[in-house]
Amino acid sequence: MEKINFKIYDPLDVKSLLRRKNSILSDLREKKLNTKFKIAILGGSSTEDIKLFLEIFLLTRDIKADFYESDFNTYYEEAVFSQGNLYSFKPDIVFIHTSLRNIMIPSLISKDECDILKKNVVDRFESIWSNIQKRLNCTIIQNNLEPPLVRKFGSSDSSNELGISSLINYINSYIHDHARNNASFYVHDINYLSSYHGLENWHDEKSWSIGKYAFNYTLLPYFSFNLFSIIESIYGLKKKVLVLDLDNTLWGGIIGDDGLDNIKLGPGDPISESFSRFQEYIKVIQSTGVLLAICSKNELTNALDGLSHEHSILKKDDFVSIKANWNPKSSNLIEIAKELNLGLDSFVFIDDNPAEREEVRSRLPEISVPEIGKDINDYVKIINQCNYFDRSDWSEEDKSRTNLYIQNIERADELSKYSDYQEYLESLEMKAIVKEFDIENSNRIHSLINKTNQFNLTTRRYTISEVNDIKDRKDKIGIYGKLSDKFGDNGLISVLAGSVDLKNSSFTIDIWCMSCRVFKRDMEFYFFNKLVDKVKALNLITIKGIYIPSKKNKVVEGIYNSLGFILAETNSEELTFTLDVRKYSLINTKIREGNDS
Amino acid sequence: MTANSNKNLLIELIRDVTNNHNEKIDPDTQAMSIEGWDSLAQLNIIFAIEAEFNLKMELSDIENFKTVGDFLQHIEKNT
Repeated sequence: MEKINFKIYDPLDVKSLLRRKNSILSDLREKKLNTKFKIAILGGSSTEDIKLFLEIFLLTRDIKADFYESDFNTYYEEAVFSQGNLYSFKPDIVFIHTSLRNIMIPSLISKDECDILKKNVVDRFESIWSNIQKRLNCTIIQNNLEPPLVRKFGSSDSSNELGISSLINYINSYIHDHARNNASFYVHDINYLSSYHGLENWHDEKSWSIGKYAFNYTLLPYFSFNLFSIIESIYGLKKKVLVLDLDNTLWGGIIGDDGLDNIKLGPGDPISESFSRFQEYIKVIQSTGVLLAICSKNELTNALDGLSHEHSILKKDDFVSIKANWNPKSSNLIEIAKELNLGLDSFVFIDDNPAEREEVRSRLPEISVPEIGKDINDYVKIINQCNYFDRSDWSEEDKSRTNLYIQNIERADELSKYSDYQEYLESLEMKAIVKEFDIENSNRIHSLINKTNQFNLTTRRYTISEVNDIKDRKDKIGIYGKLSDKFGDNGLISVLAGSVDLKNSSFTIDIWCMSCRVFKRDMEFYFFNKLVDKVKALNLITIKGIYIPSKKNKVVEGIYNSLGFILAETNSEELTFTLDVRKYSLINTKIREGNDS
Repeated sequence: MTANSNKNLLIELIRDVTNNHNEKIDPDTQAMSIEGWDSLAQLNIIFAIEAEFNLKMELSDIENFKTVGDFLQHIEKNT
């Protein structure tokens, strides 16, 4: 099955997808998976194959979704007047598939008429958004608008207030503003997609008249792939680490043979400049929070020499790990994953050498290894189109991501000084804060819940409104934890939430997750001690913990046992544990109470 | 390109798109009678033919097509 993944994207194989979509889908449906979430598609034009391709992409990542499609062009009626079954379907995600086909553009007009038209369009959107938000508390994804094929005023169509382009620009800014101000609203950028593939190609009458598709049918795989990337991003499934080869990847030539002065990098000749542009691109990717690492067959000294080259945009400190040796690349990649405590499926590996790519691909099929071609000038375009680093989920926190991991490397250095692990923990001078949910931290709480896959007992997800709801309810408890030490502040890294059942004097943990950045510091014990305090303060007797095994959360399968819970119930999907808090003795850790500043 | 190989390419293409690998398909087969051939599959088949045989198909061309052979004839004429 992994083989299929590679053939479908890295980069996208549109020809096979269009031709063999049905057999690819039926193969993927053979996977035995539980439904992860429900997606409703509200269409202003046909959506059937948008859904089909989206389902294919989700299944390649082991995500089974249930789908609902509105009747043709009834997106407004379903959302606002509750026609159809949108609201009883209770989706986790609503995708609103609008396009220029849904905007009536009369041959206006006076400025007044134009203003009325603009107002009508955005008012309709507002009422769709507010109705869905009010009744479903779910994530909304909506297309912006593509540029028109025809420009009413030619080149001045954007600057003339009565122009079609001008109208579209206005509506798009309105949609983009809404996304900036609403954490659960995401834009599917067909304005970019249509430009990338060319408007001449995008606007296609045959697709409209035969299939009622708003754009060229052959672009559907790209469309659904972009949509899929947003969903991956929302659920924390995008790539986190970009691992790069050196010779003929970050610079031209082989540094060990050619020498530092003769590698191709920097101004001068076209090839050297191309490698510089590639490095600039990597630097841009890094600035969105992606971690960089090196995996190269080289002497370490040569590798470091190259990174100190006067025209190297990327320096030694930009990388969270540098492996330059003669071991198989797959072995080095496994080491890097261990150091960073991240899953191999969050890695992308770039190498100009097809044999190395194949070695990694065959031994570590979870890693994405794009076919970047033979020409340095194509690398950026190809990697970019793979959408590995769609950051629809981007938050302020991502700015400091590289620093957080570099602090972890310093901690690992510190650890090597101690033979006793507890002594090492003591030396870290850890301080923690545990508090109940509050509004200032709700965005971070929400993103931690939705993105944590390893230390996550149930892998249940909450919407932002559900998170905000918890602090106002008497029958719910939600707490978060922050951890800092002498190397730096890790920020908010753990969340636990659940329900109080007064009748049975019990508290059930619905969600418990912790960032992999702080594994093995005993933070989970410190955090749980605090929960027990809270539970006791409410005069409750029992804590119920649920463990739902997933592909990624094996690391926590034993946690309830280690806390003294007893296995009470087990079925095919989940294990339920119980703990009598009167018998619980607080676990000692090296963490002290901190002050929230 | 011989007529026979065009025919085989077309039939293979139709089988792929409709995901129909068992039914007998030959030039006399009524297109719409092939299981899996609906209007959406038709759109897909048209684009696949355009890409495979490097030709253009207009709406007016397709309008009167009934059998697989009609599609084949169009391909023969335009390649």
